[in-house]
Amino acid sequence: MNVIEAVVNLHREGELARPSLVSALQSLDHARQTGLSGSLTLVLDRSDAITLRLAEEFASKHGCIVQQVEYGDLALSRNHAVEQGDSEFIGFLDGDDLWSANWLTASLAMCRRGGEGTICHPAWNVIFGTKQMLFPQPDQTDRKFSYDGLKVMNYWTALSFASRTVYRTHPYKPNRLDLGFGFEDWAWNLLTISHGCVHRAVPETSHYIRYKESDSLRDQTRDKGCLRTPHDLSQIIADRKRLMAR
Amino acid sequence: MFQIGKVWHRFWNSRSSPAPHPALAKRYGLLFDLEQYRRQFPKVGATAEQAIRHFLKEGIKAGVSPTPLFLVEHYLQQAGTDAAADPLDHFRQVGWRLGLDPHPLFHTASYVAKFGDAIESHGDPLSHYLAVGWKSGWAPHPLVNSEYSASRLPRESRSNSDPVSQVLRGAPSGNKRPHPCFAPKVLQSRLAQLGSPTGPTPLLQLFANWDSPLSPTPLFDCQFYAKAYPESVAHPRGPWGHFVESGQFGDYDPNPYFDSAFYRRRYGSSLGRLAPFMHYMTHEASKQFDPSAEFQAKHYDRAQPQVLKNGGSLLEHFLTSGRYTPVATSASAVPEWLKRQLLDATKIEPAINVQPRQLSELLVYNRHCSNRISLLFRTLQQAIDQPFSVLVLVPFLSRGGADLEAIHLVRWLQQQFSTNEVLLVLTDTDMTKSLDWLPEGTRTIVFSHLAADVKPPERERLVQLLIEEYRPRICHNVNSRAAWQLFAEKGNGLSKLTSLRATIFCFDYDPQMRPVGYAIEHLPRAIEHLDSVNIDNDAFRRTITATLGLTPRNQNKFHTLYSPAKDFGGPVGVEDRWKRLFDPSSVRKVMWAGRLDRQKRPDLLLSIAKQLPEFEFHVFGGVVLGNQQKDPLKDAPENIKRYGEYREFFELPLAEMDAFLYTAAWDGIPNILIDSMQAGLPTVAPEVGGIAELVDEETGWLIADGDDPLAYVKSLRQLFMTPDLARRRVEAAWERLTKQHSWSRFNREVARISGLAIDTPSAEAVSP
Repeated sequence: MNVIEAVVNLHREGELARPSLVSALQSLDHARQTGLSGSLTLVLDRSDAITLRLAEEFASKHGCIVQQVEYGDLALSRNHAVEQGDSEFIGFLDGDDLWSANWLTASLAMCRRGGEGTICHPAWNVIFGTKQMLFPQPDQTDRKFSYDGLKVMNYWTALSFASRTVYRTHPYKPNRLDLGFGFEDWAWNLLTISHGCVHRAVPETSHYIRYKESDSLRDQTRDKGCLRTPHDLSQIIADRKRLMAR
Repeated sequence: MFQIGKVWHRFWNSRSSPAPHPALAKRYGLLFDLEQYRRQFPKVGATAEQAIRHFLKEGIKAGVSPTPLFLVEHYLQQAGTDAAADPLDHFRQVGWRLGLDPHPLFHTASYVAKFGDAIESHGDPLSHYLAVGWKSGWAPHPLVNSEYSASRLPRESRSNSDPVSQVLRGAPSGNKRPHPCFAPKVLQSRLAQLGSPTGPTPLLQLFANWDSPLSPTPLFDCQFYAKAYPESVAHPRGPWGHFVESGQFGDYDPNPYFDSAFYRRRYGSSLGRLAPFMHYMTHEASKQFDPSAEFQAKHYDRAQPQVLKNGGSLLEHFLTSGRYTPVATSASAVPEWLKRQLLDATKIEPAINVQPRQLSELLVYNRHCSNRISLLFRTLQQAIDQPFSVLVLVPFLSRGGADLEAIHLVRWLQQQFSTNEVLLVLTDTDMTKSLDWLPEGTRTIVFSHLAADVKPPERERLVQLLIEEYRPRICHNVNSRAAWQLFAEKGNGLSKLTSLRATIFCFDYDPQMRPVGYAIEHLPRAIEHLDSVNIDNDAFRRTITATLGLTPRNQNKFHTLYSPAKDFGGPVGVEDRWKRLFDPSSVRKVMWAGRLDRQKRPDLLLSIAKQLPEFEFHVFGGVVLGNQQKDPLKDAPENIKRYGEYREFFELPLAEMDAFLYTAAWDGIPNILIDSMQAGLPTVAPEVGGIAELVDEETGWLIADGDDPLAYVKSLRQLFMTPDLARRRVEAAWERLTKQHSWSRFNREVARISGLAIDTPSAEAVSP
């Protein structure tokens, strides 16, 4: 059983996926150089041919696992990776973003120091592409951290690192944009904290997030005026189905 | 209480206190500051005796303070009427021995315990304090600090008197203050929330005795303090009480950006006997001290140079507003290692279009992980204190028809759910003119009272958070702009958490007579997510269906709910009115009431009055403030008699009036027509909106061409020439009101509509 599994979620990124895969591999190599075992898994959800070809070529060259799924939902793709693998820890990377080389190593060290419920985020995100800005990530143990603040504003991106147990115990809930609910990562951050997990900003680590003019999930979430998915969405849906049936 | 630094003592003690006027000193010790009194009453007279006479005759009644640390109103609240003749003398003779305080920030009992017999020679503890006590450094209240107060005064204006009195002179101010935590804006918002007067006395009383779980100042973060110092939660006044009584005098951090340990390490030799926080606040303007490693005063001053120039506090400014912006608090905000890692990343992905040297210039999103909404919502939650089942949202409460509709709805909902289960929220402004119309015990929240400057997007978000957090069964919007905006943008998700409903009135029209307003701007996007929409007349359903092209499903969401006639209204002076109408020699008095704005067509009234010089037109209502329009009746003929704004229709001299004239360019069914018909006034009104559902040839005079003054002239003449007909129509109007605008019908209909909607979810199928 490997200690670390780097999971890259791919959709239809095409050539943009190449630097992301290189970055993931580089971070994994960094961990391997410190004596850690690790693997790289590429999860392709409803991918196009070019992305699939690129992923398969990369996988055959570097010995990665490729999984093709048909969820059409990032949350379910991530959950799939959690269920399929067996490494002790998992780090998620979206198919057009990049990690700093020390990300996996430093996060693992943080998780081991912090204990079972530790969830790692980079200290800084650098947003590049059609928008350029910096996005620092707070540490839940920082005295400035406010849980009330998290209820009205998401602090962290979805590119996290934690033990497989954390992801298995708290699977991502798929967005229901049709019902007016989105922001699955925000909902997950709140849910995990309410169950005792601790979100940490790993010192001296960074992610590089590509900002595109058009992003289907972001655009739909905005256009549909979505709320953050409530923790009891399944109960709400069940109640309404019962009312409809009356 | 605590002692101030020795150096500072020497400076102040090197000056001598001003000699009081002998006549004043004899009677009042140092409690009467003639200079201050003359500042408030310049024509008080030349001598001290004249000032005393003026104080006893006028000053006490006016609640004027003869010295900043003696608040007459505060003292009389404790001493009662016995002291009313001369509160200063009462305090000197009796009050202080009874432990009465002259000011919210002067605690007599503590002062007496400290100085004991030494007080006697000065006559009272406050005189002792003003003469010698302040020089000792002993603070008469934990929320007073002499050294800090002195720092708030320009050096040239510092006199040889107590600096606390000097900063308290005049209106309470965020710059001239006795303690860094005195924040008048926060206190004023809290007083408004409590529905209390907001004068200096209640403001200072609130500050001195603050016991809300919220903080009275941006400098103190209750949640942070409670987490950092768990023992503070057990204090009877919570974390704030702990900080005031002990924390501020030790190395307790009031907020996450003040680090006492850091401060003591770095500036320990400068502290003297001041605790780190008070030392920093006292010397902040020098920019020689940083409150923590990550907040560099010089750096923040460069970013916000106006703060210190305007006499403000850098740290307080940051905690009030800077933390919600990307402004940096230190020069080294972007670490060096990030530059190296970025360089490495660009080697893998050359498309990364950010260069390491640019990093410090980039916008930093959410730099401080702070959002003001979170603070506002916490304040709101504190004010709500218990859950509710129904949320009614109104923009404000003026005295118009829409306000009345909202209040009818609130009353009915309270009857169904209980008073406590209904929360009424004023979302858009702080106008609360018709609070007195609400049933007693109605739970009411005014968003504008949460802070001095709640912005429109924040108001929308607060409504959203109320629904997300409390999940009321019903959320009913009656003209709230914030709610319409929210329903239009996020109605889909919200409709899964509550039953969204609305009451909507007629379209408004712009000067080109194009329809505008919520029905045009928001309803089309919101209607899919609303369970029901109440309207006050049938005609509007037809108009809105045609204008918006509503689907049959959405058309079915509209329900006509006729407004009930007022339960305290009824016929007024009817028998005398008939006598006058049958008397041809009687002067005809036509009543017109309403806002003098474009919709109500005062121009028509003017034209009609000019053509009927034999009639008097009694006009009740004023020009709408803020419209900056000219008075449309400025050149009115003599037969127009004006009375200005009114509070309630049934308080007007209705018995003296013979008929009611209504003019409007557009409308629903205006409540004022229901009022006038209820009062037994023969009524003339135009056929616009839903008016024909109330006024017709059986119940009054309906003007088919509402733009034609001659048609009104003709009808008014007919009305007065045929008093029998007028009487029959008034009686028919009462019957119409009984059938259509009775409370029993209203209750029946609103129950039908609500019952239907409560059990019916939004129509689209929900699949897991």
